Amino acid sequence: MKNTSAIVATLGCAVLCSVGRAQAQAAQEQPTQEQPTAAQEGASLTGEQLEEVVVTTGYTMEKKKDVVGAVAVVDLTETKDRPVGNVLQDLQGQVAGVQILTDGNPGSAATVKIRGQGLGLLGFNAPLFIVDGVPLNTTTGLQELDPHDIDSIQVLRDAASASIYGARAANGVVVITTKRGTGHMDLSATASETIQSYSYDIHPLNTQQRALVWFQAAINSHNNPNNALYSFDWNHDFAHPVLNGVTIGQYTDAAGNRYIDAGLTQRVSNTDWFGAVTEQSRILDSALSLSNSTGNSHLYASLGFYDAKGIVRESEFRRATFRLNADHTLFNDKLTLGDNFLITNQLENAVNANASFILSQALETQSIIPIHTVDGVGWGGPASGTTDHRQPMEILTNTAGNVSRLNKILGNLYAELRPMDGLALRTSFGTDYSQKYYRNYTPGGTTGNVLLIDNLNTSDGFSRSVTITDTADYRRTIHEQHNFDFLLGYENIDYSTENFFGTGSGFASAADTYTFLSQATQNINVGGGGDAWTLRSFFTKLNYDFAGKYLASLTARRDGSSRFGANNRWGNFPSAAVGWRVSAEPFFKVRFINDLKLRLSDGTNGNQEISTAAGYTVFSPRYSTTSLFANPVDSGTCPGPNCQQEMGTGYDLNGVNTGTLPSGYAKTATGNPNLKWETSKQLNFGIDFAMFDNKLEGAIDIYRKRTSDILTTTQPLATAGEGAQQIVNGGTVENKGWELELGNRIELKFKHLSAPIKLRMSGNLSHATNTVLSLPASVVNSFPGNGSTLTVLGRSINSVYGYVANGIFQTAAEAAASGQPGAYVGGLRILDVNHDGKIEAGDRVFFGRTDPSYIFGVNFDANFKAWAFNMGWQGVKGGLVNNGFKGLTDFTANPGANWGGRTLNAWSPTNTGSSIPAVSQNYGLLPDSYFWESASYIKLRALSVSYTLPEARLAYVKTLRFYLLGENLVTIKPHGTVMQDPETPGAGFPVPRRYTLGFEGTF
Amino acid sequence: MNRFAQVRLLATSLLSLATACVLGACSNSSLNKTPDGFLSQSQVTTPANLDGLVTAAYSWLGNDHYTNPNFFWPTGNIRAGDAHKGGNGPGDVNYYHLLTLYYLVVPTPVAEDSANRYWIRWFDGISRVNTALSVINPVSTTDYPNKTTRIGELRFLRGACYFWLKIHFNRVPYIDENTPLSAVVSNTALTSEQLWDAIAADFRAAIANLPKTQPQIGRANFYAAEAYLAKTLLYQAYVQDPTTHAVVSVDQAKLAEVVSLVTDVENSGMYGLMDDYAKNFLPEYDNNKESIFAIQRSVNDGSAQGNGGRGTYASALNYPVGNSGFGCCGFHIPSADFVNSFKTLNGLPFDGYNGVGPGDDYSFENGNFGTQPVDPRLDHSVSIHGKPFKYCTIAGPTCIHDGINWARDPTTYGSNVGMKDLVARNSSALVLNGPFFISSMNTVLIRYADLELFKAEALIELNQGDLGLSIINSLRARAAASTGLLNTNPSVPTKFVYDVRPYPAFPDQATARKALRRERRLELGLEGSRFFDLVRWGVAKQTIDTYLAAEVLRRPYLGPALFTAGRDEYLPIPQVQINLSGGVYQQNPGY
Repeated sequence: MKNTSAIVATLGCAVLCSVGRAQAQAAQEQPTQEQPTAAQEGASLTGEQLEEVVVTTGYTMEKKKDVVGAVAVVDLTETKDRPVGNVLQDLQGQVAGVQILTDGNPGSAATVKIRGQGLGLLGFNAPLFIVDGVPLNTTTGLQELDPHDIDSIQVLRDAASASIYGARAANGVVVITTKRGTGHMDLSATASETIQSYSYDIHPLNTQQRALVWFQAAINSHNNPNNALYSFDWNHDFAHPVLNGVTIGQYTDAAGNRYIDAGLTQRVSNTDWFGAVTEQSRILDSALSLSNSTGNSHLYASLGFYDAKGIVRESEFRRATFRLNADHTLFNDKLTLGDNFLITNQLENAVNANASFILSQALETQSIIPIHTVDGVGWGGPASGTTDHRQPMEILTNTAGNVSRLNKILGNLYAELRPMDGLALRTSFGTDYSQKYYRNYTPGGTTGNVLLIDNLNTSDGFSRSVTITDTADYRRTIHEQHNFDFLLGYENIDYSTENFFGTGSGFASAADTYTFLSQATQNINVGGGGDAWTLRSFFTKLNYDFAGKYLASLTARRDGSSRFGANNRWGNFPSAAVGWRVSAEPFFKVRFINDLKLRLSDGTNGNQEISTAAGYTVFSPRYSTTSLFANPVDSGTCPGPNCQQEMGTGYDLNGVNTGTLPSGYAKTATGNPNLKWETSKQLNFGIDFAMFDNKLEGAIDIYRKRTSDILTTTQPLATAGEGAQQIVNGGTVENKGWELELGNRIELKFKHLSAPIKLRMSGNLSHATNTVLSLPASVVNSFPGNGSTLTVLGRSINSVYGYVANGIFQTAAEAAASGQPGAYVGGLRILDVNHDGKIEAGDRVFFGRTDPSYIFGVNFDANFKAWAFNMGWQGVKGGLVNNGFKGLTDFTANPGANWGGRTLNAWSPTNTGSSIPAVSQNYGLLPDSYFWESASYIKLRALSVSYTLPEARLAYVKTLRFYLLGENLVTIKPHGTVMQDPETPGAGFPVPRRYTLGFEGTF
Repeated sequence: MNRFAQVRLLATSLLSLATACVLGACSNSSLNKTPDGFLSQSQVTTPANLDGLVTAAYSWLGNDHYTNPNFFWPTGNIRAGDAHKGGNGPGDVNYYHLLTLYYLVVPTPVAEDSANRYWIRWFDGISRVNTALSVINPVSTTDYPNKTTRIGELRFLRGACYFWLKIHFNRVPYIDENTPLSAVVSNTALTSEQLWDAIAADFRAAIANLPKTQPQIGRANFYAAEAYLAKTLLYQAYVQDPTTHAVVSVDQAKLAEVVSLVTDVENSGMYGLMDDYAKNFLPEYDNNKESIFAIQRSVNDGSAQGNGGRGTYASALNYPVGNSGFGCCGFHIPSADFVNSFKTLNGLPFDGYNGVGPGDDYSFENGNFGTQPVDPRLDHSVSIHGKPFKYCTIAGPTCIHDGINWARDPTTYGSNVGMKDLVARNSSALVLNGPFFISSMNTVLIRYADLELFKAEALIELNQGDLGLSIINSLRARAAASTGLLNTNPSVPTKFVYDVRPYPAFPDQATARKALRRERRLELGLEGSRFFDLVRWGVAKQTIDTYLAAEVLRRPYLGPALFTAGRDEYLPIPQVQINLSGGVYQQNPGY
């Protein structure tokens, strides 16, 4: 098959290796006549193709068929048309055992959970990301990369595959390789435009409806219903209330218009806040690349531009990238010099970070508040009878101009010397350098009756990691059947970061062109910090196979980290894997099985992600720690958990009330000099198979992973005092599960059709469980439970605990007899778990967990002539999510907020079938489980059709393809799920419905 | 290439790789990295930096916050019926709602438990003291000339901290600078009496070490320590049953010591009553002669990100909302019962001040401002619909309390505003921090009037009511004279009727006691001590039951509230701490 070599070529070889390189060169020497089509590439390769696929398994490359670990190769052809900002979003539903948590934010962060979230809140959960051999310092994604540049993504799931990355591989490794030059001066261009939209089904109450629900809630609570917004004409009989009418807004102007403020600036309105803050938005995604390959040099250069506006108005993420990947071979193939470099510039505005708050305010802000005051300029805002939060349009408008700019250089320079046959000596110098500048200005003034001071915060900082990697790789075949590959390597990573910020207020103008620090007249302040660590590693790997039948791989890595005390600085991470290709045995005579390979691997990985100060008892002057509490709108400027003001060390000893205060030092943390690596041991058993003339192929993996000496922070006894919390090695968590991948390819031939219909289906299904086996006593209490008999031990670290809802009290007598604090007729009944006739602490139980039981994805492809169709479904089964919106959609306890339309259907003596509790201003004790809903969903992620113009139809055009793609078109969720989207519950940035039209051409 | 050549080349390659490693950044020393931007213990403990540890211990006083204020509006006022939680309905800072209903029977082991926060924060304060003491103790006075004074100050601060823990939780573990940080000391290792003795010992040590005056007004001096010791001994004098919390005896010797300590402070000549009661609640009179010890607050003090600095975060939720000119957050709403208790009959407080229903309340709505005589201290304490806020003299809704338009959730809590911890909108001490208002007005922990009432209480319990009478009457005389800033707003046509007169005599101890207890409520209302007074006197249950019966008619949300004697006098020991102690801590009775 001619296209097999093309596949190898495109898979490329960023971390240089002899086999891959040789094959790539072979491919270039015989230019392919036909480009692989979408349906021909990818994970579900035929047995013959499998022979040749090369995967990067850590500093070396191997043939996929000989891999003995659990390595997943992502099929990017399924997803390459999707206009994502972060390539990790493409992994959703594509790889067995890999769960991607993301949302519709244009900033497109994605959390990757490989084989279940191992440690949850207990520890560090992010996998290690390697781009062209350079490890990144990120936990949320790869927004800096242009997905168009990516050639392959491999996910190393088991310990044996990942252990070559040792100290940082405990949560799996995602290996990304970017494209290298192929073809002859191929100029490729791709561009797409996406329209995205979302429509909420919460239906917040309108102004009139809210008045009536308010009345009912007040009456049910025996409160006088009149407040600053409403005066009710009623009969003042709580037992038999009769409402004759309501006046909304107590202030009136001469013309009889009603207002909610005495100054007659805020007219009584009926604002649709969700409508106001959301909009249909666009994504533009384009890339231009040049790819060239001559006998001894390869060049790939690209420019990319991505501009995504989110469905929350003003939210935006923009990225421009330039990539240059080149290599040149000298001295008769003895020396290769090359580079992979990315320069990226990205811009993100503060609305992205504030979007969840803006969306929650779109529900919370009453519709009676106008967007603008009557002059059309000022902002409507809180008044008597409403909550005191800023209204969402004001936040959105005032933060839209606050942008953070990130510049990043990512890449490496390398040289590889091949002094003799089979030996490759390689040295690589890589860097990941980021510089981030953020200017955040909040204008002062009033919004309703909330007063704001103006404030500017400007910050700048860099982070830099330098990775030096030296490897020696020796390959040898003895007696034709004994194949050895021996690798020795050394790696050093130096990371440092520094930052500073300045703040000020009292600006004479709020214009973007004026609000710089030097123009501040008050509250001028500066701060800054830095951090650094070093990781040094030695590693070795021996791969052996006998005639492709018996396979073995031994790996050992030794890592030294500056984060640990001198006694435990070094950690060893060995692994071993063996494989047996049963189908290659003479005795194997099962006809319909073409390939059958058994794999077994066992190994140890580590984790070092702790504060660099963890080993030291440290003091710090903390003059004053900022704000009353971390306001979400200010979160961009507030330095994390220390935002609350209660840890300061400055004090006005002189009683002068102002000026610079005397200040001291407080202990901030207690060192643990005995800290050592967290280790996770993982045993993996796998079967790879191909059947029915390679039409059906797949893999099954079963694993058990035990993470011990987990690096976690203690919650000390209070008497140990301030700064007593320590990072310790404690606790053991076990993850177990299985993964199944299946691919199927058939061709349907019909008499009346001139060409066959090629069908391909692939799917994956996985299951993972999480069990906490042990925890230090000081950590158990950080997790739900009663601390003694009911704890998280023996359960998932992501267990949910609390009172369980048990229907609604239908009669007052039933409520009175319940022993439940605050019980009332129509109220939610809590399950009396211990049957003692009262509801108290003992009735709290573990009622679920947030881990899904199963995650799955299914893809269908169909090709007919130049037409290609794709459909991808993805889903989650089991687990719970917290629907934070329910506090407002179902309850009226927040007297200043607006509420959801569901309150119109609340329980009442005439609506006793309702599952929504009777509206009230005082609900008493509420069952926790009421707020948790099933996390299950199935989504039609993508549905696309593309048409490739037949070759040579146009001059100068090698290929041209058009596509139309719809995403998130259907969501199926269990009956009774209240939240609209279990993927982004509550005020999460919703994943919108998208339609994309694009083209891709090579010239 | 022959095999030997291959092996040689391989070996050479590996050797050069190793050499590169050695020449490069491969030495082990670069793995020795100390963290950036921190001080080590040895750096902070040089004599030059010792004062910094003491300053940090003081700073802890001002490190409070609405979730754990060192001005006890939630635990001292709300829980005693002098105020409602307020805010945006029961769910807004729900813990304080539970406190109001005495619903803390469900101690929860998770971080949301605010009692745990109080507990942790106060032990943090103790740890700042202990850290400083353990470092300072071994340093010579030659190296550290301030050693004696600073030790006195630290002992004072630790005493204050344990005092707060004691009145909130009753039984707490006692640790000092000699206790290993890893030790688990039981909260019942000391009896209640022994714990009081330990607290008193800190104040006695402070008295022994402190000078009579300090060059910096914010530091504790000899008399502040005497005043705190008097307060401690007064509380300790009422001996409680460890299970029922009923007062079983009153220790006369301790009362006598209270009298002599207060007399010593009086005789210093440094302290006294301000001429106008108002001056205790105006920032321009910070550190006046009535302020014996106060938390020093500051604003515009160079704090990072916001000019609120080290201001009154404890009261940040308590400003009125709506068109008051303030934006947030309507907490700490004085109850109708509290307001009504200022009504006077012949210039004296009287029983039955609540009447039978809301129609009897002293309020704008009931139109009795011009007819019902009240103690003028009401208008210093509570901002009421129709009355000027904080002595303002202009017209308009940002000055004259505008009823429900100043309230967050008047349907549930009404619209009163507790004023003593707040400053006027146009005060230079006020700054806006986010939507919150913060001021530099000090939080007075012991006020001379409070101290005088300690003495009066001790005298009355010692059956020397006549001496107590004169103290009470001196406060009433000052109250009567404190109307200069009231009734001055020209836009309010109604003139409020003030009538407060001295008690002619106390015919018996019971009358004297009743007068003393009423006087504390009127004089020190909303200053955070009411609940602890009730518990000290052993009358919490009866007083709160009476309050609830009247107030529930006005505020139906109180319907489920029920005070359980023998339990609700103290907060539960935080379940988290019991768990962390491995069961060494004992829960308080009733929980």
